[in-house]
Amino acid sequence: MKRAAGTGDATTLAQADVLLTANFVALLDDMLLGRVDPRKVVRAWHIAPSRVAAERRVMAAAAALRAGKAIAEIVKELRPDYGVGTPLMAGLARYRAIADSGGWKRLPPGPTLRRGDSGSVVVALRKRLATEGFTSTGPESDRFDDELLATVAAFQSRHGLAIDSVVGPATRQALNVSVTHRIAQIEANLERLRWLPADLGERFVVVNIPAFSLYGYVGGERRLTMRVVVGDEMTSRRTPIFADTLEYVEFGPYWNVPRSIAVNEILPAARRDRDYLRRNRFQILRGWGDNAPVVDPRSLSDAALFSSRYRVRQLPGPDNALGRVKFIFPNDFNIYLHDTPSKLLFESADRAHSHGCIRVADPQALAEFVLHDRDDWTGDRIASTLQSGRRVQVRPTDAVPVYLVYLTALVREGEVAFRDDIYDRDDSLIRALRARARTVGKS
Amino acid sequence: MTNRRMLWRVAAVVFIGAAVIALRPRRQQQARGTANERLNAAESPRVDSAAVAAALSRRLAEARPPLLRSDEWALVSRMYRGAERASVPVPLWGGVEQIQRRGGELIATLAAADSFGLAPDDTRSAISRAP
Repeated sequence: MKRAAGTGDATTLAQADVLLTANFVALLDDMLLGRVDPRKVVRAWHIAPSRVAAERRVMAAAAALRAGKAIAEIVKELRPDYGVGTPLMAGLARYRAIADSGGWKRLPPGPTLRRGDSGSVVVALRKRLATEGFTSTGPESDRFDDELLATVAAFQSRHGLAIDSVVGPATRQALNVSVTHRIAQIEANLERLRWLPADLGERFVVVNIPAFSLYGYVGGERRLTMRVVVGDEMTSRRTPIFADTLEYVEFGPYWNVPRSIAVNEILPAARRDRDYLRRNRFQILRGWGDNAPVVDPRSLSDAALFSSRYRVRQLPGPDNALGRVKFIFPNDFNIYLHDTPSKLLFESADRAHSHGCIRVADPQALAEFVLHDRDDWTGDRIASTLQSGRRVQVRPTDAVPVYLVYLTALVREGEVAFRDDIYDRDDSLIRALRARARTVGKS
Repeated sequence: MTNRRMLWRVAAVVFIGAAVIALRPRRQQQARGTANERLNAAESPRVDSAAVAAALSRRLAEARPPLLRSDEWALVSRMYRGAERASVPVPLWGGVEQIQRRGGELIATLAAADSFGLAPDDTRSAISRAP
């Protein structure tokens, strides 16, 4: 049968149209949902990008496309940024340029370097720092002088290391991470941004686990920054990645001891020393309900003490493990934010020491941030309530979203900064991204 | 720039060039056709919009391109009918001239995706695999 005039054109046009759309959708899908499924890379990653929300945004992009909007503009508006993406992109370009110029050389093994040292290794250190953009007097000087001291401190600060201007094992290890790995690390963290919800909310809290930091944002601006202590490297104690909403603040809290901590730490101590519980203000309760009766531990055998019929809680007070306040966002992991009586850990550069919950350095500031819409809960009232130890629960008028995230490449003062991959999650993601690229190449 | 990225860009440019060549002679024939054969659609003055809609329907009923998952292919179909769920699919990229121009824009955007960690050679692009 003879084809109608114009059908050939129409077919070619339609095929070209669909081909372009398919590429457009592939790009948007990767950009809005990530190139790999987070749950297939990290079991403890529980923030899932919303496919429904992504599809809604793609449909809006189609309308913009049909209206003639520039494609680059459409993509820019959809690209996850959160105030981090653009500086990370700039950093990615910079580190790629460094790689194209040959990267940096590893520092040779050797003793700790500090002010006053001299020699070829100091020249190598200067070159290494200068290649990454940390400038000092120049590679020709072989003396570890005051200027190099400041440069090493700047490097340590950018990498979340203890700032002592001494090139010891940790600093040397960070210096010897290749530029190729830094590039892959930035790419992996851009992928992690794609796993976050598009809209984080007007007022929200973010805890970046490898940075040991908590941030409060309002309208996209950071209003609050504080140090936190997160779960340690043991698999069972790692702080999980998830999002929830902070529903209430509890002043003067009890600590309902998780069974694993009770069985492994508290009760063995009580078995050795029955007075341990009293001295540390622990109670034994029969049952898990709110009205469970308190029982005298001296009336219980060891077997009964360890039985799951009983639970352990610590009374409110200055030595309570949760400190003077806890911030509750009910979740399946029994993770919350709380104060702590152990303030010294906040001075440490490595703050992965908890059983998974997150200890905050400035609970007063966090309480004020969360309860900002409660006019009756002024800063003074919060301060006096913290001081009193009185047990009281306060709900913000609007629940505040909390995001526990894991970003090892971040932005500080406009520059890319790196953090130690405390839970060993970078390499698996980098491998997954590369595997994905290979799969594509084969298709 | 790595060889892979360079190769990708060359392949993309080759495809667009091929698409332009494929469309050009038919455009000339179409321009010589009767008024009834001309299009009335604003997007393209030379191709019958009903024929394009029919061709789009046929293409969307065929197998999905290998770069897309089935859910993405279903989304593509929905995109052609828009939020208002038009009874026939409407081109997204316009007529011949717009396809050439905006196809180039898309290629530039795909190439720039490398800057946010979506390397062009990793973006599942089928452009280089186009007929």
